[in-house]
This record gives sequence, structure tokens and C-alpha cells, in this order.
Amino acid sequence: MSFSPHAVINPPVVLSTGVQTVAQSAIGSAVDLSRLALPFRSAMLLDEIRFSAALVTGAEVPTVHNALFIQTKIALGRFAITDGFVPISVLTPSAQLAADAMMGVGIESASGRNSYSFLRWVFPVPLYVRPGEALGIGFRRITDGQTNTARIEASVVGRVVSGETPQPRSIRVPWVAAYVNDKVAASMSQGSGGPPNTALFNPFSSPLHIQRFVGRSYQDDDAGGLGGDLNDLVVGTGPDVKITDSRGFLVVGDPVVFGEVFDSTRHAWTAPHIMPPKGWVRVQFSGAGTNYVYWVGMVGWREEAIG
Amino acid sequence: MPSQVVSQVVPEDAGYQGDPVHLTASIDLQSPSASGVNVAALKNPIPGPMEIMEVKFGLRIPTPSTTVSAGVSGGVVGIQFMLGDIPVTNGHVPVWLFGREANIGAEQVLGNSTTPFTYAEYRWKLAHPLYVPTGWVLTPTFQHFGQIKQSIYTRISYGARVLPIGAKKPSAIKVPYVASFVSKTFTTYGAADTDRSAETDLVNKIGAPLHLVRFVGRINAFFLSSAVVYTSDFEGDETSTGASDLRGRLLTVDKMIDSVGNQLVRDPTLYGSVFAGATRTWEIGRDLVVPSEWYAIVDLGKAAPVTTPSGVYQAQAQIGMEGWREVAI
Repeated sequence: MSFSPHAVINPPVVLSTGVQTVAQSAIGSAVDLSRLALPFRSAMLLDEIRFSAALVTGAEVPTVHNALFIQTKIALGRFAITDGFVPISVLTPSAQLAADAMMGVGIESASGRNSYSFLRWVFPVPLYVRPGEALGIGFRRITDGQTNTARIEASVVGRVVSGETPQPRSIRVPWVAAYVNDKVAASMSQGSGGPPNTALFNPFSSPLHIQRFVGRSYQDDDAGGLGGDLNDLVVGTGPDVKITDSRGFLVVGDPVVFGEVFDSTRHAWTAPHIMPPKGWVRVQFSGAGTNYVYWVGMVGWREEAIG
Repeated sequence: MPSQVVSQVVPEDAGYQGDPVHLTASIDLQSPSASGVNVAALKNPIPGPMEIMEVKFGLRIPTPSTTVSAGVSGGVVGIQFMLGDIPVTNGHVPVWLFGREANIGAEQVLGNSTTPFTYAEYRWKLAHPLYVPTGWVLTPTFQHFGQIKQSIYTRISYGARVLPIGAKKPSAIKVPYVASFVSKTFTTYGAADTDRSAETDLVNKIGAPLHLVRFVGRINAFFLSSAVVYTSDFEGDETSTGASDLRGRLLTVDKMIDSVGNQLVRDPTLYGSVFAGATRTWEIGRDLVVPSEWYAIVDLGKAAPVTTPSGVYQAQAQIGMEGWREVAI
């Protein structure tokens, strides 16, 4: 290969939103988008987003997986990447439960311990960002029973595209939809139920290349707060799950326990396939245990023309 | 980064591809000291070339005690590799900066609760199998950095394969290269502080273009008291070293630039975001080539906590840079 001795072709780059603070049941303030844009007019190929989330918790509670309760809304210009706010935990499988959520010592008050969560979402396909453009990222936090402020940072990781590279005529844009029960309530887990057909849905007029489904869960305490299992550690249990799609296909025909469909080590089911325009899948629950809340995400990408 | 092992000399579909071989050497490293190992144990037992697929490191305190105990992490022992006269590392590199962290809960295990010492195990899967010519040895030299006063029983193993008779001898081989930066020791819950790497730390010193594979970011956190010395990059059930508070709150990469002016990290970013929590790495993920003498400079910032927890906590940021280059043989 030819190689200039003084050049680094397409150098890697990390751009961060900076720390955002979000109170319980609130939407965070706007992110300074200039932090997510390159200072010079170069295109980028983004490979992943990393989230770091901290929450001060009481000393005696278990490690809280903050990613369950913090939601994000991501877009690239006019192209939505998430279907509104989705929990950041449904963006990606769990890489290592022990490393996803960790507990600190108590740096804000002697009686409180910071609970940290880390998530790394590798896009299903690298995302081309035109010169001058940047991802837009917002945060929201549901009612999680913790009164302290959450501190969140998102970092986009990718590479700078050299100016000699021609701009593509179309780009592949990730898409994440989620069935979200955004309040702490036991009712979700009782009896049968599930998202409407518009939750895990392809709203585009082009096919959606599905990469995987992600299933997460946590326990509430029946009183608007959190219960004992905040760590997404529901293993091989939960309600039975049945999944159908818009073509009448029985994706999961016989009800199977939640922790089997979204396997307990990764909380995800890699299921690459193509969903037609306006297609959907519907997840139904039955025979749940008490006080657990279940979320299902759908991650894929579609092709979009750019000018 | 290749997702599968691809031999340099034997096609995967070639049928018989040689025999697997596992080679191990060990040493009891005194604190602080540097020493080699019995390299004969790391040499191909059969005359001929071999390929090393992975390297494994094991650390253990050989003399645990109820009064002076210690936990050991991959941040307290460094290793320098040479393949013949070809350098594989830029000096001594902490052993946990080789490769990506795969299982944080399993890499450091408490041995016994009444005499609490730990085992620490790390695995470096090479980006490309390393061809070791006939008679050559990948020679390690260890260094005990001295944070723990006990000696450390250190073990190294090569997962390799003896190449079949008639395997083609390559004219050039892909040799890994790892450089590192170890920051000064921060007082974890003390005043705000900063540090910066030097041009000679994360540097391509091999005199040829380097294919960059990843950066690795560990936190070597110490919990010090009269009876317990514990180093870790993890808050398990048994210990708390302050590593989580550093990774998620107090420690930031304020800026990272390279020698040709690229801003690799432009704004202050949490250490746990630059080096992803689940792998402790920043995977470059493609073929990025940096020129000879290229280097990266890292600016670190350590914030002060609102309150100061009891206990003596200190920590170093340890950052590795892994790549590979082709060397004619």
C-alpha cells in the first residue's frame, strides 16, 4: 500500500456530550450539540455510542442498573435513530453484567454510594455523518424512586473521513424501537398484555434490516419505588412470551419464559432478518410473576437517501 | 480487527495444520525487581517453527497472611517481550494492558476469605498469530512495580501450534507491538489533580508504520491500610478500591491528541466512556495505520469528591496501545 509517512488516514475520534444531569421523572436539558460535531468540515463514520450513568443511591440498596431507568432520544438531522425516548438498556445486549453496573464508595455523602452503569452500543452498521452535521442526543429519566440526580454522559466513537472520500448517495441509519412501560407499576406483569402493533414497528417506506431484539426487566416495589432486583438479573424466569408478526408468522409460537427468549447472559436475541415497510412484531406476556416490569427493544437499520 | 484467527502460513482449509502446544514458564518476582524466566520452557519443543495464538498471564501472592494480606491485579507487574531481537513492547507494559478485558468478574478471584489473597488471570489473544521461526523464542522479562511489598508468583503461558513439516516460511511476519502510559499515583478522594503522558509513552517506536488495533484503559486502584493492600480495576463483593468512582465520575480524559494534530478526544470525557466499561478498551475496529514515530498524548484530570470516604485510596491510570507491523525475516 502507498503510505504517506506523516499522515494518519481516517483517525479515530471520541466526542462526548459532557455530563448531563437529569432529575427523576424529568427530561434533561438540551445537549450542547457542538460537542458532537467535528470542529472542521470533515465527514465522520460513527461506530458506536457509549453511555456512562451515575446515580447516588442509599448505602443499603443493591447496585442499580441505571441504564434501565434512563432513556435517550437520538437523531441525525431529519433522520430519527430512536422511536422517541427509549431506555438506553434496550440499545444493546449486556456485555458483562458485572461490568455493566458497579458500585462506588460514597463520594457525595457518607451515607450514599454512587451506582455506575456503562453501556456500549455498537451500531449495526457504521453511520455516515456529513460534514457539519452531528448526532442529536437527549435524555429522560423515568420514575425510579431515587431522589438524587442522575449524571449521564454519552460519547460517540468513530473515525474522521478524509476529504477525498466522495459523499455517498445514501446512508444506512440505525433504528431502535422499544416497547416501554415508563412508570413503575406492577400491572404490566399481570395477565396477558403487551405492546400495541405500533411499538415494535417499521414506520418507514423501505425495508428495515433487523439485527436483534433486546429484553430487559426490573422489579418495582408496588409503591412507586424500586424493589429488590434493580440489576436486570432476572434469570430464566419472568412471564411467558409469545411473539407474532405482521404477516401472521408465529415468531415465538408457544409461550416461552422471558429469560429464554432474551437469553439471560445477554438479555438479547440476535435475529437478523428484514422487516417489510409498515411491518411489526408484537410481544405478548402471560403468567407473569409479581412486580416485574419488562421492556423489549428492536434494533436494526434502514437505507436513507441524502442530498 | 480480525474476528478470527488467520494463520500467516497455513490456510485454514489446509487440512492438517500442525499440533497444538502449550508452553508455560513462571517466576517468583521479588518486590521491586525485574527478572527473566526460564525461556527454554517457552521454546518450541520440536525443532521447527510455531505460531503463538494467545498469551496468558497469571499472578498470585505466594505467601498470604491474615495480618499482611494482599490482592494483586495486572497493574502491578509489567512485562517486556522480545522476539529474537525484535521488540514487541515499548519497555515494561502492565500485563492487563495486553488485549481486551473479557470477564471482569473472573479475571481477579479471591482465594480464601481468612487469608485473603487473589489470583489474577489475563489473556491476550493476538490480532494475528505470531510466527516464531525455528530456534527463536518470544522472550518475556517481568518487572514487579513495587506497589505490593510481597513477592508475586508470576506465570506466563503461550497457546501455540507447532507448524507442520513443509509449512511455508514467510518472508515477512506480523509482529505485535504494545506501548503503555502509567500515570502518576493519584490520591483517589483527594484534591483535584492532573497528569499528562509523554511523547515516549504511547509511541510507535518500531521504525515502521504500525497497524493500530486498540487502546486499553485500566485503573490500577489501591486500597491501603495497615493490614490490607489490594489493587484492582473492579469493585467486587469483597473489596472496594475506588475504581468505580474513578471510572464513572472522578477521572476524565481531558484531551487526547496525536503527533500530527488529530484530536482523538477533544473534550473532557469520562475515563469509563473513552475505555468502554465492558471491555476496558477503545477498539479501533479497522485497519488504521500510523506512521513511524507517531505518538498520542493523553491529558488526564482527576476531580475532587464532595466528601472524602475513609480509607487510604490511591490509583494510577494505565493506558495501553496495541498494534502490529510486518517485519521481514
